[in-house]
Amino acid sequence: MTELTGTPITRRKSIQLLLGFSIVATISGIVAPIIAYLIPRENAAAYGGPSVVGAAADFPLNSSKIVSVNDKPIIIVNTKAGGLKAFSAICTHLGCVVAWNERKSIIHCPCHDGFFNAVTGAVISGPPPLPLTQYELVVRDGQVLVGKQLPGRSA
Amino acid sequence: MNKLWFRVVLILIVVAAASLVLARVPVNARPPGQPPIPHNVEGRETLCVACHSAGIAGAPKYPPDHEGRTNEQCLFCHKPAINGTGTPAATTPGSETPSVSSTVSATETFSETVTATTVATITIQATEVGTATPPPTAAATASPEPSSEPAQPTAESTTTTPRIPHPLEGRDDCLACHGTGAAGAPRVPASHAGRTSDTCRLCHQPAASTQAEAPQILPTQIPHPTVLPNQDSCVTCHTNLDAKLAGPVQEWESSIHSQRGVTCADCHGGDANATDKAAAHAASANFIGTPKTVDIPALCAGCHARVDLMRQYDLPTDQWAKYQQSIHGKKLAQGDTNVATCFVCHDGHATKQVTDPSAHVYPLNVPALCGSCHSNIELIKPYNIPTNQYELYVKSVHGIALLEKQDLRAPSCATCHGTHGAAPPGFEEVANVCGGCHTATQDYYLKSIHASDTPGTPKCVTCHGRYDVETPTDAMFHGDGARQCGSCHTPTSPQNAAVQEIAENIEASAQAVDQAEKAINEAAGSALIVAPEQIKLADAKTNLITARAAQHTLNLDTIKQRTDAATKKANEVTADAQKAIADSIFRREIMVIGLVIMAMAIFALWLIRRELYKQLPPK
Repeated sequence: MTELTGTPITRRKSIQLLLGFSIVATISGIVAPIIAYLIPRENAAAYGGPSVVGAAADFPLNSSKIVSVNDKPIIIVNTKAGGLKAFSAICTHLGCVVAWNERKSIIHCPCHDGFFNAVTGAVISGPPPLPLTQYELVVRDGQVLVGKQLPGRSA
Repeated sequence: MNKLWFRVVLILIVVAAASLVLARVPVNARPPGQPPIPHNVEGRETLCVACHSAGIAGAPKYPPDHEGRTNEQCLFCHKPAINGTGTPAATTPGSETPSVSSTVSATETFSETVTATTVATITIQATEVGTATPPPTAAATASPEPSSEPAQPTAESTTTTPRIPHPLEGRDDCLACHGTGAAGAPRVPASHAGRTSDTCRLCHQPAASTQAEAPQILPTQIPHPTVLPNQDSCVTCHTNLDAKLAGPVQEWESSIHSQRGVTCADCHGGDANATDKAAAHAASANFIGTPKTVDIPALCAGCHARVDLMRQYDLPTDQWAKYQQSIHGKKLAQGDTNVATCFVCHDGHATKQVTDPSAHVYPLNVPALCGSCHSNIELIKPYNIPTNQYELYVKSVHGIALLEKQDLRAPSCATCHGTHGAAPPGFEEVANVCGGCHTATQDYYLKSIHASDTPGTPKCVTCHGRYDVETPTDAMFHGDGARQCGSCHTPTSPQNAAVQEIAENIEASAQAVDQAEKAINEAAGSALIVAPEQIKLADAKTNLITARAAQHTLNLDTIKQRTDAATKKANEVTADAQKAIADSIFRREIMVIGLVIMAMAIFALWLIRRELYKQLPPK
């Protein structure tokens, strides 16, 4: 009798398990990304932590380079007065991408001749209404890391 | 033999001069056949219409179809005959040949030379005269050395109009002397009948030396008596007088002068330590009382032009020197007391620092300050200048930036006209004035043919206006209205074709950037990450904006290089964004299908489970 009733119970159980698994799998497929989104991932570059933009040797004195940090264009400058600094490469006037003026050692926006101080990001002349946003920059083991936006008046 | 040589040399020189002229005429600059300008254009760039509309001073009237054109437009087609210095290109040698001994009245040549219609015809006339007419021309006969004469007509034929040999200050009424021959002044010729004093200087220019002869006024040296603090008897007495006499004291008390120890006696003289009026106002105490308006600038300069005194305040000391060069200063020197003096702009007795936002000279207040006189129709009437500048300015991009957006970097009247040295910038100076702020545009403009020093080439104001500068639009490329390219370049001209090509490139590029922006916004609206595309879009915009500035070069290659880059990047962004959107739609579709399949599977399992449980024997 046990043998007879045993078989149907095993089938029912397996169906029960399959059904439960399907429901749980479907729900977790929806819920998992939500939970993952809610858990902060500190120190991960993709979430605002410092990310390596190159070796310190890639940024010689009186030069600059535009790099992409967290999908944002950042201008890294190296000046005698201020050393290595990182600023947003987007001009605060009309959003043009800024460039480097080697002769004057200042950041220059080619659109309307906006000039920015390469140590502080402050507007020297031209139409930009605000200074360039500065980003945290550290040199660790010969690597240049750019981190979060520094506080201050910015666009 | 001499005659033959003379003819040969004359023909050669005339032909050489004409070919020089023809070589200087830009090939595509204008349709052929425009009469050249036979007179000096210097200082008359803004007067074409004044003479040529009414035919003043023998000027030929312009044809009816020229109605409504501006002075600037005249000079696009009509060029000075040789080099703009007033030297006629080649006219009949007889009437034009200057000679030291010549007694031919030179004043009439202006109206005579304008009868020539084109450079080409002038050449023909000149040649004909040279060959058909024997040498005895007016000049040749007057000269003892005919063989030396032929070199002169083209080399230095500058006897057109006698220059004014005396200073002009205070002598506006030319006819007062020259009409009657008073004080030995040469009388105007009979042919000048009906002309007014206002028209003389259109032709007669001052001789160079007279311009530097302005008398130099020195700053007024006044004693600066020591006044003990709180014991200034001027203040003590005047405070108790009526409003007219006490008002200045109250104003002075709020001034920067009172804070820095500049007292009444420093400007008004007198003895501030005296206890009675007679002693305080005594002539022996250098009492001035109310200074005369004409004396005010020198009075202020008594301190403000002193480097040793102003250094401690970090103030400039050139205001007075500049003021004397300003229109205000020049008019004041002529005795015109309606003009602005230091006292008018610097808040009278309540003199404030320029950094004080309540000061009339604070940048935000400057337009209203200038407008307080220059918009006053009655006050300005005698000067025959417009009074609508303030009205136009407040609606301009500059006025809106300064007055509405309170952006202190925006220009006020003083930025372009100067403060103490206020005078309207010359047409040729405009690019430098605007370029003071619009540096990138100026760099491009200076590379263009528009920036050439040929009189009449357009300057910033030709396309953008003066007081009522508006935000430029692509519409300026099209149409023939004022400030549009077509207002100078006719539809069939090669320049117009170039304009349209530039416009097409810029507009196509702008359209591509707009499209890219829309695509990105749509993608961002679908919660897609578009940061990398946004960087690319910023790059495309940078190229488009620089292309718009670079169109001032008029160089299609320079412009196209930027517009092409902008279009290419914008198109990439559009493609990327559209692909991202398509991917996102595809993923959603797949997800929906997946969910439906899963739901169906779950439902099927549930049905099977129900069947299986039905098979259980009831407990």
